[in-house]
This record gives sequence, structure tokens and C-alpha cells, in this order.
Amino acid sequence: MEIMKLKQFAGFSAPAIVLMVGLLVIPLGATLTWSFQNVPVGQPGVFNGLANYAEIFTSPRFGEAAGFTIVYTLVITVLKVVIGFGLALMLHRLPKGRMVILGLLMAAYVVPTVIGALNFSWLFNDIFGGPVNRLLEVFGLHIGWLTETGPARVLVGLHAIWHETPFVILVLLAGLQTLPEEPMEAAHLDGANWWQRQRYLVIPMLGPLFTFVGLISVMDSLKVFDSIRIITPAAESVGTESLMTYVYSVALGESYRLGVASAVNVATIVLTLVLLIPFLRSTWKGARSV
Amino acid sequence: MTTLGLTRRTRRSTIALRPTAIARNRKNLWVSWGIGAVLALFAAISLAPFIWAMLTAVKPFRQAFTNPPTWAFTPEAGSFVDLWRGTEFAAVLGNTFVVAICTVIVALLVGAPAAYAFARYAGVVGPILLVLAVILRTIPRFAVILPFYEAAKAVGLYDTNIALVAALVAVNMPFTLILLVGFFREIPIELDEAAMIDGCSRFGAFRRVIIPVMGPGLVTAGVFTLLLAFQEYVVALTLTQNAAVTIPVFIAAQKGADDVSTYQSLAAASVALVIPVVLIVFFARRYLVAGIGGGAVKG
Repeated sequence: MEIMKLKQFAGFSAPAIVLMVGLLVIPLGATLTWSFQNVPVGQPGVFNGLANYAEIFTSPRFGEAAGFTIVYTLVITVLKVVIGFGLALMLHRLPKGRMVILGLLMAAYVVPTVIGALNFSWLFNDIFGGPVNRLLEVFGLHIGWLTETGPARVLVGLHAIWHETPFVILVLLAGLQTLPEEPMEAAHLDGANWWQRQRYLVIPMLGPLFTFVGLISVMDSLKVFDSIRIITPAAESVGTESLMTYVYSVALGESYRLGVASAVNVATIVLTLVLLIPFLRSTWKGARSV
Repeated sequence: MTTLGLTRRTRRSTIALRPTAIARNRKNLWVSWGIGAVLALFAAISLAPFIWAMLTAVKPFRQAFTNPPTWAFTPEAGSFVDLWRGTEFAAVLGNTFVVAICTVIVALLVGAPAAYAFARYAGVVGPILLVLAVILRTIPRFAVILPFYEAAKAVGLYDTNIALVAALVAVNMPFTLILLVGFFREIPIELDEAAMIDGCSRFGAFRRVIIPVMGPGLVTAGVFTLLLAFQEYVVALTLTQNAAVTIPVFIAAQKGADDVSTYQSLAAASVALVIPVVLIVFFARRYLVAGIGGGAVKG
């Protein structure tokens, strides 16, 4: 009796499974089909083989968007984990006011991305007095954050770090608080210094959490869209076009070519899965072992 | 989490009683002050965009756009009045709340029983579905939403709250499930057994015994779903035009106009939205921390 029967399992999970099949899997199937079709909006698609894929893989614009998105993903994932772990360790050491500081840091994460990106980009906007450029003037610098390719790319990355690092802090801090105290003290008495304790005790014990935040970061960064649309609306000419802003332009912005947009979506899914194979393997093992 | 913190604190004080530890303790005090200062600096940087937006919102029009910035000014509420009277903001905000709350209700009604089944069923179906949910979570919004857009147009649901809620429940369902499964796993299976020995059916045990003890887990999943629905941009951008527009779409459209005259009302809108969101999170922070520590991670 304690083990749930298949019939009961089906009964409980049916609504969610029907919903996910109907509203996620079937649309996904449509995207896959469309990627092999020429699909004008509002009309059924016509099979055109691999023409969409041939088009995107020979398009320099796609190449640039893919290159930017991959570099962006890898760089900010590493930076977020490093900075987030550093801040989590500091918060963990803080004897008082931990929740207050954590709450203040969380504001950047919980505010809707569109609003956060808008407010963040204003700090770099000279129309508003550009506080960041005012500070940089001390070093004799003036940077066209919103118009020059290099600085605009850095700005998009800085926004991601500002917006998403609090999540990393939250997860790693929660992990630090559940670590057992005894091995730390034992290592301390045995003469292990602070670095050695982090390297050989804390980081391995938090391993699954690093995997988790890495997984979330890779998945979300490859799909970056909201912040780029707000910070650099003319992403293509500024050089900050991501895979998803490219999809939007092709499908609903400058043209209505759902087939080509679907091919980009499929390519993005394949890319995501390739980058996630190690993570998925550990999720599978974790689920099996329970 | 509170209890953990307490035990740690008492333990620390027992360490401090050892004579060799006293010198270390004094050094620790300095380190703590340094750490506090660094963290306060990070918190200030992290809040700077919001502080700047607030200053922009309350500055008189002429002083808001000077370079170098004006620091001495008399605050005005004009931009808030303009926002409320001169734009669709109030209506859009109301609609966004309706959409977000409906999304939470549907997501929990559909998600909670399924998550319970995933947590309890011993077969291999559960893990497979969970991995599937993780994969679905990785799919770009557009891969689901573009076909959704075509379908909604075909059946006349484009630009309606119904299509928007359906899409939001669907795209967030894998996340809701992962979160809830983690919570259900924490509930001892003996509770189910006891309820069923006392004569409850499986569904009765779920409804009368498990759901009541799941309160905090449901609140956590609900708050997360609410925040996700509230801030969703891609889905709302694709599926709405006028009638069902939500706050992120409204803000982006105003920004897109790139007209200096709208900047102050945008700043006012930012302030008007940041404050309630931060308050929700501040008061629900225990639930959110529990969600990340106990649910999402183990899922």
C-alpha cells in the first residue's frame, strides 16, 4: 500500500502531463517541423528541406549572434559563480545583519528584468548625467556604453552579473549554512589554512550546488533577450545581438519568417543540450538514487 | 534555518572559551568589520540603479537631464501624477496582477498533485519525467511561443488574458514541478501510510493530510510563480498587443519610443514597481530561502 500504484500515479499527474504535452511538447514539435518549412505568418508551411539551416549557417549575422551568445554565457557564468561564492562566504562570516544585507542584494534579482535593465542602463546614459562616466572622467575616460560594440557588450555582461549573481549568493549561502561544523574544526586543528579548507572541504561539499547554479546560468544565458532589448534596442548594429533577439527580429520584427526563426530555435536547443550533457547526467543519477 | 543559526552561535561561544582562541577572536572581530564594510559597499552598488531612478523620478523636469547631474533640487511628484493620469499604467498594472494571480492558481492546482505523484511513485517514470522537465526548462521561450502565437491567432485568443495565462502556466510548469517535488520528498511517507490506514483513500490522504502540511512549500512555489509571471517579457510581448498587455511590455514600449519626455514617467513607473516587488520578497524571504535551499536544489 505504501508504494503508489501506476494507476494512481497517472491520475495525479495526468493534468500536468496533458498540459505539458499540449502546450509545450506539441508547440515544440511545430517548431521542429517549421524549421524544415517556409512558413509565412498566418499560413501553413511548405516543406523546403534544409534551406532554413543552410541559410542560417551561412549567414554571418547568425554566426556573430551565436558567437556573442556563447562567449557571453561562458564568461558571465564563471564570473557569477566566482563573485557569488566570494560574497556568500563573506555573508556566512558576518555575525550580524546577514538577512538585511542579503535582502538588499536580492533587490536586483527580484525586480522584473525589463525594469532592472532599464534602471541599470541609465547609470551609463549621458542624457541623465551618466554617473558612471562621471566617475570614469577622473581617469580621463569617456566611454560610449550604449553605442560602441565593445563597451555595449561589456555593459550587457555587467547587467547580467548585477542581476543574476544574487541568486548564486542565495543558493551557495543556503548550502554553507547546512555544512557540518565538525570537519572544519578538525581541519583547522590539523593546521589546514583558510584556503586549504575552502579548496578541500567547502568547495567539494558544495559541489552539487555549484553544478546547480552553473546549470541555471548556462540555460538562462543562452536565452538572453529581455535585457538586450532594453539596453541596446538596435542590437544588430551595436553588435550585441543574441540568438534570441535574432529570432525575434526574424520572426516578428523586421520580417515574418517563422521557418528561419524556428531553425535558429532548434540550433539553440541543440547547443544548450550539448553544453548541458554533464549536468543532465548528474540530475539523472540524483533522481535515480532517491 | 533559524535553528541551525542558533546552534552555530552557541557553538562558537564555547570555542571562544579556549584560551588559545581568545587572540584569534579579537582578530576575527576586525575581519568581521572589514567584511561588513565590503558587503555594505556591494549592497550600495547593487541598489544604485534604483536610487538613481528614484532621483530622476522626483527631480523637476529641467534638472533631471543635466550633465553633470544636479544634486540640489526640490522634489516633485509630477512624474507620478503624469504616469497615473496620462498613461495606461494603472490599467496595465491591474491586468498584470490578474494574469499573475490566475497563473499561480492554475499552476498550483495542476502542479501540486503531479509533484506529489512524482515524489511518491517508485517506478522509473518519475525520474524520466523530471529529466524531461529539466530539458523543457532549457528550451528557449520562442521555440514554444511562436507556434503558440500562430495557434492563438487562428482560434481568436491572441491578445487575451486566457492565452497569456495558459502560456505562462505551461512555460513555468517544469520549474513549478521541480520546486514542488523537492518539498513533497521532505514529507515522510509514513504520513501517507498513517492516513490510509485510518481509512483515507490515496486522494483523501493527499488532500486532507499532505496538502495541509505542505503550506510553506505551496507558498514558496506560489511566490516564485507569481514573480515569474509578473516579470515575464517574451511570452507577453509575443501574445499581446493592446488589451492584455502586461507591465514589462508596457515599460519596453515606452522605452522604445525613446522620447526624453517619457523618461521621467518611466522612472516613476520603475519606482512604483520596484517598491512593491521588493516588499513582497522582503516579507516572503523565509519562504524563498526555503524554496532555494530545500526545493529547487534537491529537485
